Amino acid sequence: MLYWLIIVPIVIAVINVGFLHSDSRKLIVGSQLGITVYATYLFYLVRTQGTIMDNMAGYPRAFSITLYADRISIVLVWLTTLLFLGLLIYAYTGDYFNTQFGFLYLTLQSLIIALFLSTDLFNIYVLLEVSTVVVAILIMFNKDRQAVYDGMIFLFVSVISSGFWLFGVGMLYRTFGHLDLHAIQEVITEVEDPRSLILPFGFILTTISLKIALFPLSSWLPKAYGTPSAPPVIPAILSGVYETTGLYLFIRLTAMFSEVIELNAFFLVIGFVTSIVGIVLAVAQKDLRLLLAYSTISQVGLMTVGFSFGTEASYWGSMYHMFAHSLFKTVLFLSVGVLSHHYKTRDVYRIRGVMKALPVTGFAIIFGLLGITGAPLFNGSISKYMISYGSDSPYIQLLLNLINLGTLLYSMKFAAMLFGKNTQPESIREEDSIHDIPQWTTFVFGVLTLITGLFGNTFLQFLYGFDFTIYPGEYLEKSFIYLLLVLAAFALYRGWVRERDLFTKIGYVELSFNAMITALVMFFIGIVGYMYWLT
Amino acid sequence: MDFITGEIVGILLFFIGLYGLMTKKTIVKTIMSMSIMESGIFLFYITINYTDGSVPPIGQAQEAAFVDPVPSALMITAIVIGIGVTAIGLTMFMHYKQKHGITHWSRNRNQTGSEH
Repeated sequence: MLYWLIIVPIVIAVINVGFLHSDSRKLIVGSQLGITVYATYLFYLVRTQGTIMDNMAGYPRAFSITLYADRISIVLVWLTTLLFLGLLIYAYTGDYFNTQFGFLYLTLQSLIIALFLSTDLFNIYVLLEVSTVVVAILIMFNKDRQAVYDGMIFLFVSVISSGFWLFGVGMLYRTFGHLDLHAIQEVITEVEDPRSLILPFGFILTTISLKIALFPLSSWLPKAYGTPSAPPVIPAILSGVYETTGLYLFIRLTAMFSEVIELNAFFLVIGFVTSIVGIVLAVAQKDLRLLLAYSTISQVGLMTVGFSFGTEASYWGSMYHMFAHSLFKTVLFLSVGVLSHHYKTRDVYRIRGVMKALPVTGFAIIFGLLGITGAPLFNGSISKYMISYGSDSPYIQLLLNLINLGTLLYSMKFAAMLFGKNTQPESIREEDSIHDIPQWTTFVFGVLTLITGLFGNTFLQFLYGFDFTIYPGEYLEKSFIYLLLVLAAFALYRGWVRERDLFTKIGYVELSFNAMITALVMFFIGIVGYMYWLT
Repeated sequence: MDFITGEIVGILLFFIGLYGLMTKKTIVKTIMSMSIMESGIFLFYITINYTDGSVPPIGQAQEAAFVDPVPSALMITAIVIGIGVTAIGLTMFMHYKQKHGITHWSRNRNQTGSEH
């Protein structure tokens, strides 16, 4: 049953290659519609009947390759199909949408869905590796100099980190004789010496930390997301869906090892550091794509923090933030695509007057920004409210508010584009910008961030089956704090951030390829050392 | 010489490859180091859980311990993927060198480009 979701996109991708000299766009959009409907049906099944497990070739569980869909994974699969459909509609009129693009796009979709469903550790390695190759090719789709360089860095860094995963899985296989995630989880407590699991866990966690771009392993992410010549849907897919695969693996693997080795404190610290570093670098950028790329890093840090508190509310809060982040980051990346088409630049200081020139995109940007900063009534507010439930410590609350202040700070920079005198080049102003599919697609995603916030409780219950009561008093208090933070961020932005010198210097700080690999090895040594100290 | 087992040599090769990746700035050497690292992993896999005197799992009449066939099967897949990735890496590198004449990792970033 579940395997159709993986096979169909690949088959369509191959058929699409037959249309080398004609238009295959209708076929691809049609197939996407079908896949979305089928994923919705499966989501309904999991909701009503519980977890679905597909054992391939009819062998019993733990011996066969198993596809596994519980509430968490089926929601992500459903979200993936929805986003892929939306992005396809956005790309429909783009000049980059040709047969080759369609092939890579559908293949990537199949791989990502398989990553969410697979429980076989070796399968996950294969999927990680192949999806890396596909993403690298998509990044350098236009083959210009910077794109090829960024693609190579992304490919090599990811492949090297998957090597760590493979090594870790080999060690696990030597101990357990299993490759199935759930089978290992069942027997993991029977290991006599927990120390024998430190090395495999260290290897595997290093790969995952690089995949979700935790500090200090985040340097590849702005390169991959910020490539100037990649089509606008690529960073949207990467940030909205591809990033989520790493977080999903993080949840599964830490759950698998949690009985033996508990690393919540470690990831709490790393999460906060990642978030702060992401914010500082995001504020320093002037290229819109890079700004959003660093903002992704900071949001991932926040989600890691939520997962590491260890309370139920903050866990599901992070889960909902993952869902919300996919939506609002898609809005923002897509609107950057629209802006760079209509302004012929992505420099945040040279775009002004978006509300006048492109009101539809302007409203979409407002929705996206209100979502990412956690404004009352938007989806970010629900998830951030739940994450803050994880700890009573005033220091933690202060840190969470500091992260939100930083988020507001770079959002101010983004929002400054909406107002002021229109700076569009003369030649483009004449173009019809109301009947523009990309703009309206962006707008629809923007409206979704509002709807998932307005009915946050209902969605939480609908998607994950988790009941959470939001107390109006506390919610009002949070809204009040939000307003204070907005004022503070505005003052900071006017008084300090616009003085660009200091921040421009910070913005150029980045690691070379060799330094990235050294950071990877250092992280590995650090985490293994920490685990030895712990046990 | 008991300590020279496949596993130990595999781990050593893995870290030799990593050392190359950390220190070499030439892109070709990066690709070579990556292959060395992967060979280390392959060697590690095919020697895990091996006991002396065991026989291949198929086509044997004698009653003896079987070798676990799974790691070898996994490694065939991994080797194929490794070859694919190396080929793609080399293709990118050749394109990059021929078009732009660059053979080393650099720090210079050029954030302007086509308008997509």
